[in-house]
Amino acid sequence: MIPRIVRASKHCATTRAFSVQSIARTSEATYKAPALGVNKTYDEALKIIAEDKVKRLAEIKSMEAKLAQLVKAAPSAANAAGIASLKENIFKQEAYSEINDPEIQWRFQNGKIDMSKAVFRYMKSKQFTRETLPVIQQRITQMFVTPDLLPAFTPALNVQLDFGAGSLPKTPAGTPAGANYFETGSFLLPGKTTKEPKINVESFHPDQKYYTIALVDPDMPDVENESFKQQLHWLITNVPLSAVQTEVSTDNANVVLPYVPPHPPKGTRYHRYTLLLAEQPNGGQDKVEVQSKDVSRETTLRDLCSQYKLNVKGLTFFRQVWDKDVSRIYKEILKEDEPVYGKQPKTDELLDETGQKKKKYINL
Amino acid sequence: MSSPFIRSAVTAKTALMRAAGRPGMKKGGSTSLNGDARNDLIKKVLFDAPARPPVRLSSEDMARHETIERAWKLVRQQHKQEQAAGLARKFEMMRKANAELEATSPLLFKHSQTKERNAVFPRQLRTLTDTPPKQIWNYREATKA
Repeated sequence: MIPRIVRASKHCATTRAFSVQSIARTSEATYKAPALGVNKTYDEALKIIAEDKVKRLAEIKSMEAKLAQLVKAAPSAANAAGIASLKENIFKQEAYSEINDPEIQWRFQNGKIDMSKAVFRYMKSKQFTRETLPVIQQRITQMFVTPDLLPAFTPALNVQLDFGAGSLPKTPAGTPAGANYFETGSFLLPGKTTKEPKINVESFHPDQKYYTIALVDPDMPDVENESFKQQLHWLITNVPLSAVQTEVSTDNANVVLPYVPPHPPKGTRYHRYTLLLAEQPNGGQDKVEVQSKDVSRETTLRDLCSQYKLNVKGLTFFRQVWDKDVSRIYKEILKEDEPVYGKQPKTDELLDETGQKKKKYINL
Repeated sequence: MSSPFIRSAVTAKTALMRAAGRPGMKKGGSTSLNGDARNDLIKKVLFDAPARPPVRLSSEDMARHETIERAWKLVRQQHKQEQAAGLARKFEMMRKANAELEATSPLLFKHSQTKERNAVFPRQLRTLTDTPPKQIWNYREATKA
């Protein structure tokens, strides 16, 4: 029977299990390597890991030589596939060569992550796939964001919005200190979302790609069609993002439609304010020129994506319900009359137009 | 070997006999008439033995433990890769040999790939006997075929 091994101090939590309650951690400033000579097996383990790293680096060298050859050769479909698979293999081997290093493990667990290194990108992407992605997928499908706005897809990157301190009901586990990221699908207060949020994107590619960001409200009532219509609250194109460049800044991007704060009208049910992150065509290398006449606040996401050939990569959403602050938003920011929605009056099926009881039987 | 049941004044054997409920060995002197005497020992092992406490490690020791686990996984992975590579080499040699045979002689290749369906115990086989036969080896018959 192998005895259970448990950490001695309470403030050494692992980031492996996804838990809603976060355990506060006191992280040390610098890495202190475990002393040698205490545990012989540990010293042998370090030797094994070092030998493995040497082997993998040699393999990476040979693969890079092959890649150089393929790149020089005439371009063809088979060549392109070979190049792609070689690049993927090189990335994996770079990650595996360093992942067993106790210092790298310590750095990852204590948030000292350098996304320019392959190993940290690999570990972050695995963490995203195992911990964050299932939650996002579940919330998106449960709230029907995907069939309503877009066809079902698997997000490849993590989008997080920061509306400032005090905007959250509860901070989920794994959020770094100082960030106010909410769990996908949380209810936020209209008074706290009047200003633009800071968008943080965890993408796992080292090269820079251009993305389009759109904030959409799919639950605005459409009285004429007795249905709902989409309203574009925010549209930014040509946002440069990479594994290292995670913050979205409107300085190096084109703001097509400026930010309009969410304003769910009274009488409607909760609105799902969805933020979409879509990669621009040609693998994110093409810049997109959006004319103001082509796109309005009524454009649907499907039309937007098909018109500019956008590849949807990330999605997040929050929910809101009418509040007195919404009236304030309508008055001060939108400068419109506030609509109030209600249900149609119920017609009694058992009475006719004059209000008399309908005859059930007829005399034949 | 220290056992959780041992007492200083009592030997291991006597303790085991007592635990098993052997008649006469028990302190009270009574014998268990119903059921196997070994059941008492089983119950004692299951219910009376204290649970082992979990091993508590400092963060430094935990880091060492995880590194050791990773290195062991690496070693196992390397062994498996070597085995797989060896098998792949053997399979490749067999495949090349078969390809060469196919190119050389289609009939021999066909016979090499197929088995006789109605294979039966060879009738020419000599039955085993205690003593050797009168004629050990028939040279004429052997050299003829």
